[in-house]
Amino acid sequence: MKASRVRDLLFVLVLFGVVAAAIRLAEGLGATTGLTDEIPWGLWKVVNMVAGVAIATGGFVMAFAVHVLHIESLKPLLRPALLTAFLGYGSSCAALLFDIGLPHRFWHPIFYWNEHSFLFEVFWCVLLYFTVTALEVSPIALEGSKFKRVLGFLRKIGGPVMIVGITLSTLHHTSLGSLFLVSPTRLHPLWYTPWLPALFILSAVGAGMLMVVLLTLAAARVRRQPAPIAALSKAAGAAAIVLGLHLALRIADFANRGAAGMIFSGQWEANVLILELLALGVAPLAILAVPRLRRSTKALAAAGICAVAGVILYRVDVGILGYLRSGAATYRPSLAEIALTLGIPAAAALAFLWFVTRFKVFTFDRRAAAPRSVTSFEPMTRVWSDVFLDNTDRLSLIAVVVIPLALVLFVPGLGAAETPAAVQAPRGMDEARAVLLIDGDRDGRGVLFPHADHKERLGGEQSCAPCHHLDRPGDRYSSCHHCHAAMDGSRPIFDHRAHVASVAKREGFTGSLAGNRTCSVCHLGDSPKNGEDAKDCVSCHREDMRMEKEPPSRLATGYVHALHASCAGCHDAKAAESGRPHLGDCATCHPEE
Amino acid sequence: MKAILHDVTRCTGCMRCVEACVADNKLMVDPREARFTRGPLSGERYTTIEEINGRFVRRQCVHCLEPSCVSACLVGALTKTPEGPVVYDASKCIGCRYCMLSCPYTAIRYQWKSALPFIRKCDLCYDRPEGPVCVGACPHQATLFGEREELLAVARERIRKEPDRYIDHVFGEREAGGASVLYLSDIPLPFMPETPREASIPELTLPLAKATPFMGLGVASILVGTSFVIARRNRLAEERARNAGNEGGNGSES
Repeated sequence: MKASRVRDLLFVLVLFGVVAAAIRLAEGLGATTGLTDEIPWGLWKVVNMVAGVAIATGGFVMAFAVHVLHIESLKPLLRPALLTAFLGYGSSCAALLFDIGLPHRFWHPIFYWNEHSFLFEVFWCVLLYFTVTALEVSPIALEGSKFKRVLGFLRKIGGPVMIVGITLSTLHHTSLGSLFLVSPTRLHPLWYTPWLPALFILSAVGAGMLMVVLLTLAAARVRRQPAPIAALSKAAGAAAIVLGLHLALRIADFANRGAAGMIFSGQWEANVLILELLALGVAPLAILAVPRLRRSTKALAAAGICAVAGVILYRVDVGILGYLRSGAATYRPSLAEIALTLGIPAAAALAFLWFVTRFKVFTFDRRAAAPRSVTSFEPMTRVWSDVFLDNTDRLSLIAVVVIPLALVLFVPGLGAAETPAAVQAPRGMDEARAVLLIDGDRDGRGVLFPHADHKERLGGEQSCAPCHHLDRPGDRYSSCHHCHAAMDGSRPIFDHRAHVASVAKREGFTGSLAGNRTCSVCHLGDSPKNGEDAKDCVSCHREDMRMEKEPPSRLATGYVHALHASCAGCHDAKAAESGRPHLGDCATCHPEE
Repeated sequence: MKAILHDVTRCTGCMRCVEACVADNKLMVDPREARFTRGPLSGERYTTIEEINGRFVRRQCVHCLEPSCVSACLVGALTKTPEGPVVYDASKCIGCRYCMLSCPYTAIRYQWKSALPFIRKCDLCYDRPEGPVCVGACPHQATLFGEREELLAVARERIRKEPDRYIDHVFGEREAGGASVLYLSDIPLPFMPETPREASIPELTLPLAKATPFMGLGVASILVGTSFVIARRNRLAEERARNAGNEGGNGSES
């Protein structure tokens, strides 16, 4: 694929992400993501943050190799690795800004401390390490510029900064694993182990090194330059050792916890685990163990892709899939969620491409050997640089197509007719079913509902709406209690006008002010005259609601009835048969009486 | 320390506790809606009644004695008060939802529908002098409020008096390090976590969290040491090579 096509594709992904981000900020997390109370962490946190940071480990590993172990042959890979770390951490932080519920408070952990929280450690280490990567990368950008003194200062502090960076990375890569130590009961035992911190850092280091190998291969290919195969195969060999160590530790952990049998249990979790171990451990090891394959760019790329996919899968397993085990919990990422998950790394990739074109990142690349001066602003042809906007028309066209498409995809109901259709009563329905068995109060219990009767009394065809609202999908009828609420209080279906008329008649009020005189019959307070200060229905309708009486046929039972008649009677009868505690006993409910 | 004892065998599922809680905390426009519709814990329900195996089991935040949410919250927005309740300071929260992930009871809820959402959970009505409103609303004394030690004694007394009525176990006494909400039941309660050796979750994580700064210092000093040693060895090797080369060169010249 041509480099410009790659950029177009990334641009499309970025646009989708931008729309998703806008919707997330406007509508909140519930409307844009598939997150639930059971699965509170989704793609943005687990893929963009936990996994994204894992594949950006190349920066600190290469810094370790070059600045601590002084392996000169790996030096060509240091700069791309540092850039990967800077952009990887930057995009993880960006994703987190959209993931946390209150993004404007992202700075809170700087002032409010809980040093016992692993997330607190992760926050601080990532924040500091991101600063460190910025310090590490900025000399590359400043080379050949006029800021010579700044560059000199940055170079002087370079060594200590690298050491600080490596330390911070070690800490937060273990802490990222420790994050999940809080779930000994909720996380699936296939993944929950006290060794998570060690497993996380090993898998991150191995996959992160192979990520640098992949990026270097890709850059060499795009720019038609020979890849520095000696350095690459050396790095890949080291990565293989680390991944081998990780795989060995995983197996030892299963053996140690006695969980080895679970791997081949056939559960879907176990199958995902096998896939993960194949991608993250077995496949790259098999490829990289052969010295001849280590020198082939294709084999290196294959091993790299396997390991990077494997480490992402490992993080998703621990962070999301391992929490689904209860069965009740589901997590279906929304389109907008996926779009932002892809859009942010796509933006980072565009930034990577821009950076490597402009600055001397790949030292083996002769074309970029002399840093070019910054392009000036050219309003007639190019706006900024030759990477981002080398073809303004084409990119505008892409934007015009993608943004509306994204809006339609991500905002449910956008473009749907706003005016709802009127409720249509099925013909002949009342004849066929005068009485329906419905789940009237949504408690899973059926009641016989005299539908035809209700319809007649409430006004025929005009009466559908109070219960059936609008004819929208998912719009259910009102629960019974919306009308038949507590019968000893004022009632929402109380027909005030009819009562005024009948009270006037009963009290013998006549004349034009007869209606006004009735107020004080029911409303005993001064003001306001509303449902709150009205007498209870039962004060007049005593006969209808006598507790001794069976509940009137068309009125709902109150709790007293339910408990005394429906519950107590049955419990009396059943208690003797079953020998279980006698819940119908008066003392069950009235212990002191 | 204050606590709640919930007797599953006494609860009739009348939902008055839920209605009272919803009304007192102003969680829904119409509290009756809460009473007449069963539903799980949510941003609009700090407590609810779940039907488990034909029994009515009240669910709420159990206010663990050593809460993992408190240890998990990175800004310290959640605290365990000495009186018992685990309370939430909304002004600190950033919305990371790590407390929800860490809760062994999955009892913390989020305002998913809001654009600026907060955590929602029972706070044991810590600012209400007469005790939790749900307990006062219970018409059958299925829920009691009081000192934890006293309630444990009540629970054991009830089990002793009616051994056939209950499982001989006070749920919440030791699970995940113990909780301030206790249950008496005649059926097993599936939401009770089974942590290893009944340890609390902070017991599992705190030692590691406390060791981390020292780990950092250790790593940094190892790095500096290694870097120095290898650099010195390289320099010496170079010097030796140069000396050897110089000698060789000198020798050939003379």
